[in-house]
Amino acid sequence: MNIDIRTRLLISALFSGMALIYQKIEYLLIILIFNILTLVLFKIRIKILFSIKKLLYISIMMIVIQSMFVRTGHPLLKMGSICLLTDNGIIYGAAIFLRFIILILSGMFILNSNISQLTRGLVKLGMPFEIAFMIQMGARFVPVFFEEMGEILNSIQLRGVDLRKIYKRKVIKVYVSIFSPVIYSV
Amino acid sequence: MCFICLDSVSFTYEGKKTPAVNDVSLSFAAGESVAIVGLNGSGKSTLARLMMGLLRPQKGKITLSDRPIEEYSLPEIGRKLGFVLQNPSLMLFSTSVYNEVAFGLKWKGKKRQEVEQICYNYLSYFDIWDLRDELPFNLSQGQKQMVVLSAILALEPECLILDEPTKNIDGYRKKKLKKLLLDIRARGIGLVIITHDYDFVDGLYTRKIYMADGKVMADEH
Ligand SMILES: Nc1ncnc2c1ncn2[C@@H]1O[C@H](COP(=O)(O)OP(=O)(O)O)[C@@H](O)[C@H]1O
Ligand SMILES: [Mg+2]
Repeated sequence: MNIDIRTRLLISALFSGMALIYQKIEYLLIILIFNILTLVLFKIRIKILFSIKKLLYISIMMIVIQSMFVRTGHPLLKMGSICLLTDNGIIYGAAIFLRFIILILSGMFILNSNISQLTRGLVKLGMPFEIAFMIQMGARFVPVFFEEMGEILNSIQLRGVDLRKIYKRKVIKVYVSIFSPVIYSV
Repeated sequence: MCFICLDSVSFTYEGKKTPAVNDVSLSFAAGESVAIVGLNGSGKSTLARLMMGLLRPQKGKITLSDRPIEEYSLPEIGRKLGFVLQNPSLMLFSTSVYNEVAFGLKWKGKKRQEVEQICYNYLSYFDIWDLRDELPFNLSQGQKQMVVLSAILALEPECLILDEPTKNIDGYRKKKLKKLLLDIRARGIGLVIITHDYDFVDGLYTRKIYMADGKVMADEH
C-alpha cells in the first residue's frame, strides 16, 4: 500500500516513543499487539532482519544482571548469597525483549519505503535539506558498512582466529580492529 | 582423490534470477597450478568464494581433502587455503604493516624471533620493509596488495587462491610476484589464479579453465 512517508514517520515515532515511555509489561504487550495490527492493516511485509536468538540471549543477560544487582523482588534461584534469578529480573528481561521487538517493528514502517522518499518526507516535515541529505548519505553507507565488516571478519578468521572459541574480551579487541578499517575505507 | 572437489555446484545470489555459478564440476589436485579466465561477471570470484567456504552452494557438493567444506571452520580452511580478495582493502585490519603480516603468525603460536624473521623475509622481498610502521589503510592499492600477499603467504597454505592479483600493481612488482609464485609452485604449493592478465599467468599454470555465464566452457590441461 502506498502511504505517505509523513504518516509512516509519525506512526513509527509514536510506537517507538510509547515503547520507550512505558515500562509495564502489560502496556508493552498491548502496544506490541497494536503495532502488529497496524502493520497488517497497512499491508506492510515484515522482514526478519534480526535474530530472535540474539535478542533472547540479550534478554537473558539482562535478567541475570537485574537479578544480581538490583535487590528487589523475590529470589527464585540462589547460589550462596548471590541471587541468580528474581521475579523482578524476569519481568525486566521480558520488558526489554518486548521493547526491542516494538522498536524494530516500528522501524518497518519506514524501512519499506526507499531512502529518497524518506528524505523527501523529512524535508516536507520541515527538516533542513542539508540534514536530510546527510541522513540519506548515511543510510546509503549502512549496507556497504555491513558488507565490508563481514568481509573483514572473514579475513580475520581465515588468518587463524576462531571467533567462536576465543574469549569475550578478545572478541571486543577483534571487533575494534574490524571497525577501524571499515570507518577508514568509508 | 582430489584436493578441492566441486560436484555440480550452483550458486545464485539473493534477489538474482540467473545463477552466478551454474552447475560447475571441477576437481583440483594437490599442488596443481590453474588459471581461471573469463569476462567480468562470468562467476570467477563467486567460484573462489565457494571454494573458500565463504558462500554455501544452493546445489551440489564441495569437498576439501575429501571432507565436505561445511564441516570446516574458517580458521581450518585458512590453514589449507590462502585467499587474496580482488579488493585488498577489505583484508587489512591491523594498525601497522608489520602487525598485519605478524597477525596470523602470532595466532599460529610462532615464537617472536621466528615471526620477526618471516615478516622481514616477505616484506623485504616486496620492497616494503620500509613501510612496516605505516598504517595499512594509508597505502596505495598496489602496496596494500603486497601487504596482503605477504600476510597470506607467511602462513604457508597448501594452496593459494588469488583473485585478480595483478590488478593494481606495477610492472616491476608484477615480475617479482611472478618469480615468487614460480618459486611457490616449485615448492609444491597449489595455485589458482583468477585473472585477465594473460601475460602475467603465462608459464604459471598447467591447466586453464575458461568461464562464461557461470559455466565452465573449457578446461584445458
Ligand atoms: N554480492 C553480490 N550480490 C549479488 N550479485 C552478485 C554479487 N557478487 C557478484 N554478483 C553477480 O554474480 C555474477 C558473477 O560475479 P563474479 O563472480 O564477481 O564475476 P567475476 O569475478 O568473474 O567478474 C555477476 O553477474 C554479478 O553481478
Ligand atoms: Mg571477480
